[in-house]
Amino acid sequence: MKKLLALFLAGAMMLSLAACGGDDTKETEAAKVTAADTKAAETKAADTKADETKGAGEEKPAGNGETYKIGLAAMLTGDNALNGERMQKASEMVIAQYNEAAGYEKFVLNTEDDLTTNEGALTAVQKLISDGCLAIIGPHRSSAALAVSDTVAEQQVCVLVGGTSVAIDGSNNYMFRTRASDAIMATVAATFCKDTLEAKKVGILHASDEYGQGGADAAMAFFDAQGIEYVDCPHNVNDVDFTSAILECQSAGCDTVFTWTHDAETAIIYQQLATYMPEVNKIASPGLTLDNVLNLCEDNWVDGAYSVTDFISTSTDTVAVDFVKAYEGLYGETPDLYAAAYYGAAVTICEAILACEEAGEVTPQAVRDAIAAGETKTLPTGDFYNDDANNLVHSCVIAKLNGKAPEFVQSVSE
Amino acid sequence: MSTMVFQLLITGIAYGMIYSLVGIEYTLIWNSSGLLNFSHDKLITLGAYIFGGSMIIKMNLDNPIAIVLTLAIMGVVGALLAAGIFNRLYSMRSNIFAIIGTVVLAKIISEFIRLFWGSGNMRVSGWLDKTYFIGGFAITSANIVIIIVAILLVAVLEVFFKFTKTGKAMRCVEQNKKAAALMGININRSICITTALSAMICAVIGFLVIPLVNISATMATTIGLKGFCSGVIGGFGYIPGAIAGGIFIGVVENLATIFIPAVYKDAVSFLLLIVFLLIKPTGFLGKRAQGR
Repeated sequence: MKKLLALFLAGAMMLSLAACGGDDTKETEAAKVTAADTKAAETKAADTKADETKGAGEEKPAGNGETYKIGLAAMLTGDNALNGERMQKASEMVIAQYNEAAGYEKFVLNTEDDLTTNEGALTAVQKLISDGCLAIIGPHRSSAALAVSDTVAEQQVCVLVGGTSVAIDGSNNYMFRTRASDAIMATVAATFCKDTLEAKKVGILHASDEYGQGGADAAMAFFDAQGIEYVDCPHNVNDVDFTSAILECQSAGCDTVFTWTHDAETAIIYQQLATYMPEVNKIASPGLTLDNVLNLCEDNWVDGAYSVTDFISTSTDTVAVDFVKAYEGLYGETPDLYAAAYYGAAVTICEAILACEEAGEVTPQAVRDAIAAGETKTLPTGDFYNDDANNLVHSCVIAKLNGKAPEFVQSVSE
Repeated sequence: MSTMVFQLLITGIAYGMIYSLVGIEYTLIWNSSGLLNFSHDKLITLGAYIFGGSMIIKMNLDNPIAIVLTLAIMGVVGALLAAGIFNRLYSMRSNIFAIIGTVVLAKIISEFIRLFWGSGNMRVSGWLDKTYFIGGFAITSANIVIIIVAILLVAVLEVFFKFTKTGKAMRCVEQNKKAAALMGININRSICITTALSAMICAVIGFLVIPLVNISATMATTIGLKGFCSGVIGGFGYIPGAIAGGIFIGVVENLATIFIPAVYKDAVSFLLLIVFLLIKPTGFLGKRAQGR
């Protein structure tokens, strides 16, 4: 029996190790990106001057044949693993495009799992910095971004985070935000409630963490300024029963429900809204347009609801259409906002490194400065350029759910 | 206001029944092996994934067949866990080893789920998702089924423990392992059967909560914690205590939201746990439990 137990535990450990390992086939697949997708990168790579630059933390000449390390701190396990997988796929796609354009493995993506925890994010970022990465994509969540803030500032290696919290305020010069902030998106949603949905009283169902509270605060500030009444109903992360909050909105006579919460909670809230308040107007945070939320919903729960998001795959914008086509061709699945946002982040870093190479100095500080001063680039989530608060994205999209299909309504810029 | 109270009462009873089942599951393992099984929320999740993720979504089996197969698989999983892990942990010198063992087991099950079914959440369309409107109240089929199944399950367990030879043997082990062994009862076998039964109850809880919380790696985390609270509040180690504690927590935490913001609902349960631990650590039915 002891042997059996030992075999079982050894098997479990092997499974865990396999989970932590990378998938070599992805890189091969990623290398199949079409030449058309890589045109922009090719132009940059062709202009690269040989032997003029220095590697990350190493005083050696760069140029043709030089390899640059880019870090990725992604949520590969834990509560948000599916979204982390999209981060990884989009980043690998960009690296493959730029490597194909360079004609050799110019960029190497070092990936670390942040376990979807703040401690995990800190460990992942520290590891990536010690590995000599020039810049880091991720971590995604606001709280994880704040957890690594001091470290990246001390080590002077920049991170491009997906956290949309208003707490990421641009005070750290080594932290750039690759999605529109909650202040922008929630205010756009609140404005839509007033102007289009003609809300008189709004029920605000939001997570009580950094993300949910940030969005709710921005919306409440807008409603206060406009004299629109609201009912504030926070909930805990991972809550599964929202009956009390929905009944509170119902008894208060809310005509619109504004939800700002995480993916799993969004699906359950929409299920319970369909039971208790089927006729109410609804607008949600970006999660509502994601497949992993919509797959948990019936058509009638979400039909007619609106969502403010970074990106939808049905966008008619040329850059977005090309991106969707390339991503679908590579992975056989439709990209979501995570893929789009981190595609933009990876492109931004690669472009910054190429710019540094041209300038003759490729160090983490130089890459950071190049991102800060970079030219405007049109990417799937809109125009990328840096502002005073280190925000790289300044627009969002309003989508309407037709059944479970998100349809483009309008694009709103800051 | 009365509509709201009634609505919250129904939801509270339904969730309370779920907490009761979790409490019963804790109690069974505790009584049979003296172990606090901190992996049981992952067993609930595993049951839900086997039923929803494999039997229904992938294999497209009929619900009754899927239920029977899942129960059988979970029974085997439970027996294997007992034979391979629990039987060894309970006889170790310190309970700490056993507790760490079950915590690590939870992590292993969690990673297995992620590797086998992927990291996305799942929903079983058409499974207990109807809503009935009676007067001004909305009652979901999930809530009705939860209440009925929980009552039936408790009754079946009662009959099993009182009138079957195996059930009686399990009660003997629960009361005094040494005496039971001297009377010829195979302790390890008894723990295997208890753990198999417990894993099957986890599967039932998994079936029942799918329409409420969907299938995800964290679907049973809060439910698991509150099940533990229900056991303590009702009287740890006593099945009627777990039932009473579960319903009490479910109803109180829901009705409390009339007076306090819903965000503090979980805090109410954990506050009750602390109050009971400080004032009445034996729980509601503690005297009866001690007298047995």
